[in-house]
Amino acid sequence: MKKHLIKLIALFLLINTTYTSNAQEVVQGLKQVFDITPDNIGNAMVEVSMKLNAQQWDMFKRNTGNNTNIFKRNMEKALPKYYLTDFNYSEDQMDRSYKIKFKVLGLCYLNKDGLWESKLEVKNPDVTKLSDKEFVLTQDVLMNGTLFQQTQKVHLPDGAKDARIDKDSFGKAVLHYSTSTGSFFSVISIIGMLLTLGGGFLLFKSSRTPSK
Amino acid sequence: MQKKLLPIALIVVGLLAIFYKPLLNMVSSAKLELKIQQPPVIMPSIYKVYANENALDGKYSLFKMLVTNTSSNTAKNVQVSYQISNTLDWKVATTFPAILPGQSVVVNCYPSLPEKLVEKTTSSKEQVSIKVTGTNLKTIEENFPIEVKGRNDFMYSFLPSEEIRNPGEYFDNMPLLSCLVTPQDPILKYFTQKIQEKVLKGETASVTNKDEEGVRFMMGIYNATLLSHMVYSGTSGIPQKIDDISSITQSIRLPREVITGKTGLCIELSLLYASVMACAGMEPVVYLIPGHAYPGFKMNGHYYAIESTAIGGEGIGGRSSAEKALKAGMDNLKEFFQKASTGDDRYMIVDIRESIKKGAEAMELKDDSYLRQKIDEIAQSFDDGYVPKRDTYADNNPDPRNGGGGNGGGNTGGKSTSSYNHFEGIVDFSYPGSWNMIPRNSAFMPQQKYVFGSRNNEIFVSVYQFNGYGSPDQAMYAIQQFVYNNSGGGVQYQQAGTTNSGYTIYNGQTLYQSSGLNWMAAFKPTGNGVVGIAVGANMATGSKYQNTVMNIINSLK
Repeated sequence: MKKHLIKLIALFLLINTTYTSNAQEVVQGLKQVFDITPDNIGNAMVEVSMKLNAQQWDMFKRNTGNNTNIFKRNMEKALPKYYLTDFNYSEDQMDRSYKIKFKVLGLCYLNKDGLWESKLEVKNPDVTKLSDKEFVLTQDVLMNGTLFQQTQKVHLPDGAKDARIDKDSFGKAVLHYSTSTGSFFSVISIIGMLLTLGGGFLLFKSSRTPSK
Repeated sequence: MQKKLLPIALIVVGLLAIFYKPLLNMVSSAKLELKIQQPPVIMPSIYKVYANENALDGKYSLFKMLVTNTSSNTAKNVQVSYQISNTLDWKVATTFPAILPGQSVVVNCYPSLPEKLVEKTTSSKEQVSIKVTGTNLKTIEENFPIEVKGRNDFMYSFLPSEEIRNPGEYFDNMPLLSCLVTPQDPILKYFTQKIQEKVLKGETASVTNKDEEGVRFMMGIYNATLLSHMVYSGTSGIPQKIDDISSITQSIRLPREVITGKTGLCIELSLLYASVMACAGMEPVVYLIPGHAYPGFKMNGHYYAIESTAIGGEGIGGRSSAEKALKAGMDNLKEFFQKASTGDDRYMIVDIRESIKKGAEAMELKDDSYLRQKIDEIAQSFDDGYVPKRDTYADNNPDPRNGGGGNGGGNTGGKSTSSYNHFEGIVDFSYPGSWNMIPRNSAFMPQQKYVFGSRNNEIFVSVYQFNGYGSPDQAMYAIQQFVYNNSGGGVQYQQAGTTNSGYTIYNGQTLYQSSGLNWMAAFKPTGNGVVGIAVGANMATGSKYQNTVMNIINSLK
């Protein structure tokens, strides 16, 4: 997930898409924030927000104009493994900032242990766990001579618990968490267990009581 | 008994509450809806890409499928399997223990296609079958047809027509070109070794990382193609429409096929250069511009290029020296960066190592003793003494190996047939394809420029050039004197007529102490002197080679 989302930076920022023979010059300071919010059936809303300086905004508008469909096309090309829907683009020209929202279908799925799972496809991610439901991943990415300071926030759904990041057999990071949706033991199941135990106890008690 | 009724009822209700979901699933089935996306074709040359879910971000799958549970019941143990007719038996793509009501899952299928697929040279129509099964599911089966191309077929884009935004996207599959770069091919490695040994006389491009050494290596490849009489042959891609996808499909020969076939398109020559450079540890790149491609490399942050098609061919206006080819390449490169910097995305660089790193790896190719033999024959032309003259070159270019000064050798063309090689230059004639060039030695007469002989040394043909001589008779007399003075042999000959192309034919014998030769010679005067050939066979072979001798003499032009 992380690896692929990193790729988005090149798509939203069409500033440095041309070849340069002198790629050593680094343009500093492009900040990008991703908010990733999985719902309780494994789909995730992704919101990308970015604020640009005057020169960057000028270049950005020159490249994209009003053709916001370009974001959808490029994102679909850059994230070929996923199904993306519900695109939405908004911008604040006065603030030189924009936001793109879209839904990723099936980003998380239930594994054989009944836990939600999502492959991060990156080794040793730099992760900060804010709460049981929130993670922040930060990193700097250099692409085409441009340095991106990237923050990714993962907001797990209500009811999510025991969230953790494990490693799969290839050493890649995998996000795991459980929810009541995915849990085998629902409230009804717990009531059922109580009833069964209660019934068993009464049965045991009645069998120990001598008949008159 | 009545006392036990309540506890038993509680237990039953409790168990029902615990297991209501599985029980419900046993009696009520789930329903899945599928949405499938598939590529227009399977290209065998990228079979390693299909098998690697991480290659190029997983873009090249056999199919991508969205599975959505549209029922109100959880689908249990959902398994997706697939097969490709005549290609791949049933395989399991993935299994999901549970898909909740309303939940979607994505299946990306990355098949391990059999290696033998790279032996496929023609296209065929096949069927991909997909089967979705589950504990509480009615089995779903879906099929779609797919064209499995030949191993040389390359489709430049899989994008649907309506999604093409700019000309560059007609070449969306360009990173896959590195699948046709084959540095690990044993035949290519062997060819590279021959270049390093015989053309470059050693090289250190990847060790010293010096730009000038990289350029020397690249020019060495050019010279190798020039010396081996490789020619440029143009062709165009075939526009192909598959469903809603319109793309150019081109048949691209593998580098080993270009080497042994001695002919290549611009893209094929570029891939050959890239393969040799990658094999030598360099960082090759291929530059793509509208209607053309040329090779190069990058080193220390600098890019270099060469016009590989400058080898041209006599039939298409001549050949250029390596220096001129390099200059043309670097001029092209200037224009390339100018255009690319204006955002013209038809100007693309394929960074071969970068593409390979992303998973676009080349196919496995097996060693082949016949092809090694062909390389040996080609490498003969790299030997000292086999110095092509540029008298038919358009630009009167210098010797490609030493970077200067034409000489009085003879040029050799690149045409060959299955049984005869065609020699072009001082004179034009054909000789058996199995013959090898015999390196010059001290026994050679100075005017004896080339000698080609059979493997058993029973028959050979010599090419002569007598600058300043006035007649064929003078040339024959010079040969007679040379043999007598240098080996004590006696030469007897007689004129046997003239040909339409102006050659005077001689029949003769050369006698040594214990052996002798029967031969025929043909000489004609030119503006600068006399040129011609002599074809001789060991006397002990009798009339065994009579036809061969006649065929060679008759092939003179």
